[in-house]
Amino acid sequence: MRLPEVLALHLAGVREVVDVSREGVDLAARYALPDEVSHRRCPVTDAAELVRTPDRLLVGLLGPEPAVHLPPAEAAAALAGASAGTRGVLLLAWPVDELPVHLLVGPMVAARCQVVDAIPLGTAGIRGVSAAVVVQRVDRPLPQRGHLVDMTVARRAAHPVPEPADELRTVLRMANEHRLTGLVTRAVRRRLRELEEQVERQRQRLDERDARLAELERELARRARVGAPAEGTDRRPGEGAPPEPDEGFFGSGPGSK
Amino acid sequence: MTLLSPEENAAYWNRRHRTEGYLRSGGDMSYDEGTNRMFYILRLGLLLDIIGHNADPVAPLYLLDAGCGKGWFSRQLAQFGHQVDGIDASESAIAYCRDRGGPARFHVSPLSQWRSPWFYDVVLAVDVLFHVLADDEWERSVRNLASLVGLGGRLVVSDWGEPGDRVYGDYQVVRGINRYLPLLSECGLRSDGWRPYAFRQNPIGFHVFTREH
Repeated sequence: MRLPEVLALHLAGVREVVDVSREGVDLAARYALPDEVSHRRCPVTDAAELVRTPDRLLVGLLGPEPAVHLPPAEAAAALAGASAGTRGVLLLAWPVDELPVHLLVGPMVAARCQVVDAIPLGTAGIRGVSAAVVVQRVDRPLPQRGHLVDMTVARRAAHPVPEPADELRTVLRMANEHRLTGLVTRAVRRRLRELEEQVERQRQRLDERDARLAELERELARRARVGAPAEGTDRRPGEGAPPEPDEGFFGSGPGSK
Repeated sequence: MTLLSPEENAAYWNRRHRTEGYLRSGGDMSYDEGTNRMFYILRLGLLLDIIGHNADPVAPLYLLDAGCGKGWFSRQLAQFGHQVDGIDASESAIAYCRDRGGPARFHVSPLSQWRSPWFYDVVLAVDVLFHVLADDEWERSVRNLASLVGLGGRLVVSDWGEPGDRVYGDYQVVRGINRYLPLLSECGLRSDGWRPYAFRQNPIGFHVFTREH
């Protein structure tokens, strides 16, 4: 997906985007905001006073470099005091398969925020941004929408997610999927590590063989220049190197005099 | 007319997949291969609208094509960037799929018996459930397919949109909307409507369900 597509999904009722990205990180041109939505920059430490209601959307760039990226805890804290329904779009600059989920989940829970969308942004082309996570301040769990399904404003309007008929069952479903998928994930993580270690061992073997091959090629080249038989090369019968002297030919063996 | 027994039904489909053309074998036998091609493409368009227009190789959608036949839908959906498992009870169909290759993965399995350690984002059963003739096996199939859908995910099954069941010939039983809705509601899925194929006189369409708990 593209970043403007992600933002467009969450601009209903929003009159201002409050950008808490670090100073020097200017992404406003990438947002492609409609005219009726203004953009304001604000230090993340001041954002809690500003982003208090759903008519303001918090946006920020999070990632591993403190000079460029915000830490997740600060972005979450900016939403903690907002009213339910207030949202944030957090751009993530870690690779998706290395996402430090532990840095995100805790602060969001502490701020009573639920992740409502987690969207890969492989084509975003923005400062290493790999994904966008949309969080919403909640007072009760929200129903889930499928991954990458209904990712346009028109489709979401056509397919609203209704309030669950049985909230307990929805929460139980979340908890049960989480627990059991977690069990499977542990086994898959272990298998992934094994495969990574196998690949690393194979890579080392290949490096060693490449080095040995290069060494042999150099030796062959040297031998070819001086006309001598290459050391360590295989000899076929009758080919190449002169025969070994018989024992005693030059006098030291049993047949010599 | 007496319906085929499970053994006769299995033999019929193995023979049909072995002897008929690529599209016609899993398509509509009353149409030629070219007309079947239109029919397949039309259904793919409907599926795109249901599944959505987004894919990403970093975090793809995981799809199950249940009753994949010779794998046309599986291959097309995989070419969009989705990760697809195709299953079918017909060994000759799956043999064809594997020989043809491509990015989807294919397995021999009845719909009621497929097991997975992972939930799917979308489970499809395109024009297959009305060929599951025995009611108990149909219900087991629907329940199993529903169980494979993760929270927020979708189940898409082909059948007609009328109430009540109807038998066509000896190898097709369409089941009414009054069968699907309560069964899938019990399984935790919400109905999101029925979308007719609207292809010539075909009365079938896609029932779309979303898991809400």
